[in-house]
Amino acid sequence: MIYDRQRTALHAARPGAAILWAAALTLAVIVCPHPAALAVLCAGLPLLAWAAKVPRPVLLAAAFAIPFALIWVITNGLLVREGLTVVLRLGGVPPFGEIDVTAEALAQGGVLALRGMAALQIGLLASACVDPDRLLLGVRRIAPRAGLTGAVAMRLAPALADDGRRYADGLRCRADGGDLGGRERLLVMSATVGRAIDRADQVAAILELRGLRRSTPVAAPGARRAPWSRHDFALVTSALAVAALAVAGRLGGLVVFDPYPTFDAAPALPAVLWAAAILLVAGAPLLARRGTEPPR
Amino acid sequence: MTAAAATTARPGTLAPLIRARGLELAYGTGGPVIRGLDLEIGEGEFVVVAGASGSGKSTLLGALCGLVPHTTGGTLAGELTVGPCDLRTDGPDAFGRLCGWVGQDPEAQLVLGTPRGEIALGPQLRGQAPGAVARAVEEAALALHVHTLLDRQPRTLSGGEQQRVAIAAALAQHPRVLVLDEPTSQLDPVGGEELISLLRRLHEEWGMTVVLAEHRLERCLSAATRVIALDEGRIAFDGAPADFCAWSAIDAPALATGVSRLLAPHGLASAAVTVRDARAALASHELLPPEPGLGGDVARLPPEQAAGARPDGATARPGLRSRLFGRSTGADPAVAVRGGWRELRDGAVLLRGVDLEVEPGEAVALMGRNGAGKSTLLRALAGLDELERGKVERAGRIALLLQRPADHLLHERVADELWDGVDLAAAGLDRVPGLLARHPSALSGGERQRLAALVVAGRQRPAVLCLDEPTRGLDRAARALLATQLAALRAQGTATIVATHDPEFAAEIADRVVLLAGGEVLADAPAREVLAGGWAFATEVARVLRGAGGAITLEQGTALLAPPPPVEGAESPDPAC
Repeated sequence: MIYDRQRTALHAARPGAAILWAAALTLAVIVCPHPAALAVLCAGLPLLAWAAKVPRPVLLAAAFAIPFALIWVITNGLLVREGLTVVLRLGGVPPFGEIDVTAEALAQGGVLALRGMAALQIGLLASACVDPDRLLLGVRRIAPRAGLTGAVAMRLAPALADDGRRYADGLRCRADGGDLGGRERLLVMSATVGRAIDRADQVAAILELRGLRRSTPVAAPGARRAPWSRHDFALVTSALAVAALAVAGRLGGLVVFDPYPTFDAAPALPAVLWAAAILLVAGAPLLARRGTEPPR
Repeated sequence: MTAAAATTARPGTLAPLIRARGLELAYGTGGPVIRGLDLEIGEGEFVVVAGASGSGKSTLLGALCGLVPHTTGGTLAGELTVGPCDLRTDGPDAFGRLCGWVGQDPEAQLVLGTPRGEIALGPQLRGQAPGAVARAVEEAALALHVHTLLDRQPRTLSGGEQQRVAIAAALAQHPRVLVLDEPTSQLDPVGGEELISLLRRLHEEWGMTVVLAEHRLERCLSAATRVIALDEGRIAFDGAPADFCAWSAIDAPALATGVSRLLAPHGLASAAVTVRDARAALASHELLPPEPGLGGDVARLPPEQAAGARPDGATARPGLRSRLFGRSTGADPAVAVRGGWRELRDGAVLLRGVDLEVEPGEAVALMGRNGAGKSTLLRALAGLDELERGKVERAGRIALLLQRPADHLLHERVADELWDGVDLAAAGLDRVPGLLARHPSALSGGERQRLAALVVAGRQRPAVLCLDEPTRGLDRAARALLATQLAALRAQGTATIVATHDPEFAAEIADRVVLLAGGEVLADAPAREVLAGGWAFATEVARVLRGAGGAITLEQGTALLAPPPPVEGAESPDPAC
């Protein structure tokens, strides 16, 4: 759970609106195959995160994704045998046979890597801004038990992580303790897993006492719907505009990119402008500073 | 009033709400934990359940909520009903409609991501309308003073705050019976008294039936209308708090409060329910010693009880203050922290320039409210957390016993935690049957605490042993054994630093008390000076005697009072209990 309660429009909006906004951004990333546009989106997402006052997880995600992106590019170059512009001849490599690395395969690998990186950033931005409890409350309106199970599972995971940290501390602060070696780490892990059943047992008892097995139907939590805020409207409008821009860019040929057999790409400048427009439209609601206290 | 005559609801209460007939409860293949219990509790009573560890308190409370045996397993004989719910046929869901339950470990009871969700869960699951749910959350949060915490993550709350949220979650369901198992065990003295006051208010204003188990009886007797003492699963006493004080002082000194035992030699134990009554009784018998400034001083104590002398015969060592004034023993400190400053990334400051020095063999108690910085200081001393500023000088290894002893016992068998040649007798564990083959969780709280202390201290004697709330959930006998274990370590030169909310334990083991507040040292002085001179952190004996003679322990208080007149039929209580 990386939710970070801040005062921004994204935090203040209802979870559905925020999720829709993030989904529209993801749609733009999916429909766009142009590397220049994707690069702009990847570079611009931390700016959106900064505007949402949660830059840290998004930047960490970007940093975390860079080595994987490189691996993706290299793997695609080695495994895909399409493209005509050979940049490296590796000769016969058993059991793969003759391997020629092409510029097109490398570029396509880069596109996939940029898409992955952008999707990861969007996911973490949404995780940091959407209150999981409010989200699960919404799920519980539709599927009460599923929503409650999700909420409990989300609580159980950090509780077990805390347990693990405490057990590690318990070993470290022995008089003959110290830094933990592999054996001690294994012991901590086995104790944490072993006691997870006790944790689950406790939670089950508490839930039963509070009426989980009740015979009466569960009340729809928060069925008294709150009115839409201007942040809700702004984010939904922004999401629709982003989605429209994304589809229009794709259908209008602004972000066309087909690497095989040789590069066939739309000019870079329109693609970059398209990506910048996506970021501007998506970022506009985040400029609001009034009424951004997340609801209680 | 003894068990034979006392199984009915108290006069002045409504019809019996809780009724047990020949109730027997057992876990697994062991013998019954509750044996043939006959009991009636009327609606609107405030019942304190007393008893040593293993006497069956938690089992009885669990049964009142349907948790035992339905979720814990075990066997049931006889009958127990709470209102229309029958333990033979109904489980926790049915009992939960009438009973709110608050257990020993509040963190384990918080299952959702925020206190707001936690408090709302019960009413939601019971099908209440959204408006009613919102009102229940608001009312419970205001009653428990947790309305400012509603949107925080449970893990960021202190133990006391978690306890309040757990009680609010129980109250939001508007239970007719509130069952609490050692609810003050995590709280500082002030927090504990506030909680008891709140329960008293709920009881008096809402007419709620409260059933509460506690080891620290002195905190809750004044609020109770009835006390039930259990001994090996049977009712040993059932009566009014004043009668309990008189009974326990003679017949069950292990359960008696310090004031009961202080007054018992004078035949006044029944006046030990509140400090006010105790003082009035002493005054009426002209036994009350003059207060400090009114002629009372330490010189009135016998020489062996005078300042600096401790019950175990050890001599108090000079504190930092005395060393600063040139009366140091000259020994290098076992551990010293200078200008210790610890802060969190979000800006919270936990320690603000703390200075502390502890000599080899010295025992220091750290006291203060929840969140004062006690645990943070211990973690910094043990090297678990780094200080932002300042430094820690250590003469050797520092061991730290964390708040939950189970955090140190990670193996499946006790034997795997130990080593060849371990001295189990020093920890009072040599007579625990089948110890080595048992799982650590199968030990009693006291046994687990002593085992953890043994494991943490390790094969080689540490320079310093730190203990974080070591008496939490322990009865008096277990606390005495732990004190003996610590004394043995001190005798070998190990310094001990104990963070505690238990003034009686601090008085028993500490040479010196360091009082922390907001991450700063408020006082660093000999135990007698701190524990006799204040109110919130004074021992019970000191509160009754208002610091006269600097008496903080039962022995010192007894010595201070005039020689008791002979009381017919009264036996002298065993001060060692």
